[in-house]
Order: sequence, then C-alpha cells, then structure tokens
Amino acid sequence: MDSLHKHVNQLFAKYKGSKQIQELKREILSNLEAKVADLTAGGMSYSDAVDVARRSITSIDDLIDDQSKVYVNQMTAELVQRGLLYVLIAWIVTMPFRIFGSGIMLNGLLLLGSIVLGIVYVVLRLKKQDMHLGRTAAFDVQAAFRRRKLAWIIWAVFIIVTILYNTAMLFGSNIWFQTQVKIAGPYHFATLGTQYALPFVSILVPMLFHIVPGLMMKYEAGEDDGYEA
Amino acid sequence: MGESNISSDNIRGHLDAIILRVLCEGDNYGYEIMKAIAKNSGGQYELKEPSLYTSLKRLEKQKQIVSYWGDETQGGRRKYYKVTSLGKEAYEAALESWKVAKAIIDQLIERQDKS
Repeated sequence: MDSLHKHVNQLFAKYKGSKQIQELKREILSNLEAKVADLTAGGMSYSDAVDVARRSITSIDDLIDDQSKVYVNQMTAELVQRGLLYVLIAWIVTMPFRIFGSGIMLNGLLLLGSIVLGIVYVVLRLKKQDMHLGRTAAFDVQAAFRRRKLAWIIWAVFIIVTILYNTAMLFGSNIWFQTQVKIAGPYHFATLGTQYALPFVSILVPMLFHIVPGLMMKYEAGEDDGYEA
Repeated sequence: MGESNISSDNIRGHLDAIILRVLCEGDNYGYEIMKAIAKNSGGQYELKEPSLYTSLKRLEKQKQIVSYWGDETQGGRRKYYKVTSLGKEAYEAALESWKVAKAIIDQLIERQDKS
C-alpha cells in the first residue's frame, strides 16, 4: 500500500495539525485501500488498481472548509508569541550592526518592537476566562495559504531589488567605467556588508505569514465543541 | 460521454438522498457506499470520490448522519457512517418531494399526444 500512502500524503502535504483533517486523511486512505483490494480481487493487476485509485482523487482542496471556525484569541496569543520570539532573535542578531547609523536605528526599533509585543503578549495571556478563550471567528484557511505565498513572493522581489539597488549605488561606477572595486579596509568592508545584510531582517514578515495557516488549523474549533459561530 | 454527463448533472442535486438511502439499509463506509450506489444504478452511475466526501461532510454537519471508526483487526480501520433519526426524516422528505417533482417534470417535459 506504499504508493497509495505516498499519494495521500501528497494530497495532504499542505494540511497538518487539525484532528478533523487527520481523520479525513485516514478515511480517504482506508477507502482507497478498500478500492484497490476490491479491484485486484476482480482480476485487475495491483499496479493498475493503484493507478485507478490514485486518479480517483487528485485534490482535497475542495474538501477543506473555506471558512474554519478558529479560537481566535488563542491563535492571536500564539502568533504574538512567535512574533515576539522572531523580533527578539532579530534584535540580538542585529546588535553588532550598532556601529553604523542605520544599524543603530534598526536595532533600536527591534528592541522597541520586542517591548511592545512583550506587553501585548502578557496582556493576552493574562486573560484566562472561558469567554475569552472560547471566542471563535471564521477564517479562510485557503486564503491564508495564498497570502503566505504572496508574502514570500513580495519579500523575494524586495530582496532582489535592494541587492540590485545597493550594487548600483556602491559599485555602479566601477562597473560602468570598468575600474577595480576598492575596499579600504575592514571597516569599509563591514559597512558594505551591513548595507547588504540589513534588508534581510525583513524576513520576519513572510515568516509570520508563513505560520498563520498552521495556527488556524491548530486552533480550529471542532464541530461539537458547543461554541456557536 | 455526453449523455452520461447530463445524467450526472441531474443526479448531483439528489446525492444526499441517494447516500441516505444506502445508509438507511445499514451502516457503511465510503468505498462500500460508492459500490452500493453503482449497484443500485445497475452500473449506470458511478459516484466520484470528491462528491462522496463532500456529501458525507455536509450530511454529518447537518447531523443527518454520524460517523464512527470500525474495529477491523487487519488492514486500515474504516470510518463508518450511521443515519440518525434526523437523517431518516430528511430521507423520507426527499423521497416525497422527488415523487412530486418527478410527476410534475414528466407532465412538463413529456410530449402530450392529444388525440
């Protein structure tokens, strides 16, 4: 049943986490296995039967709810927590860049961001009432996947543009006049490196978009949890 | 192919009732439901997997069916569906409304040879 397993894993590659989705996966696999067993019992060769079974279901996107009920406050708390973690890491990583003007500003902003997110996080975690934790809202998981893809594309374009821009500003004349690039010393080298490196801190943004669909599925409210949307 | 597509279109709106009928005859799991429907149609209609799962999900949401995992000892465990009393009512209602619709549609579509 290996290649069936692989097929079903592929169908569900994007979707992880929620119990309902895991159940659907097991259900689809068991039905496909029954189909293969039935077809081979009817005289079809095993590999043909697996082929037929695989072709009978090629996408499960339509079976995943467009609108999922999600425990919105619990999800927000974890999103803020992850954001806080990422910003803190970025703050620590950018500390060495404090020797330059733009580095000081960015590092300061990240520290400020950490403090603000930290306060928001503590406030969110202090609210423990059922009313607050049980509140649900409907989210479109498929749209979150699309936004995640878009965020990465925009980020990639941004990075390419800044690299080209930096190169044009720093070495444009060297390329144009075909003169040698002169790096005066380690300090100059570090300045150049910083100009190229700092824009990469913006990876925070697509990283946060990246975890949103997963969090939606993690905090998805079950059908029978008793909370009405 | 064209002909069978037209009939699938006609059938699609009644899938829930068709599945309920199978489940009214006894609890069953996905693949066997598909087989039963193929058999009931005399091999003229084959339910596709995506439609099956969509219908089952809708029926379960409307509490017309409930599901439970079977206890097969060998091979993968299967998810069985059982019709609820709500589902039985829905089935009877669908059957009644289909009978009425069928009579009307017959009158409307079939040529009336007046002599």
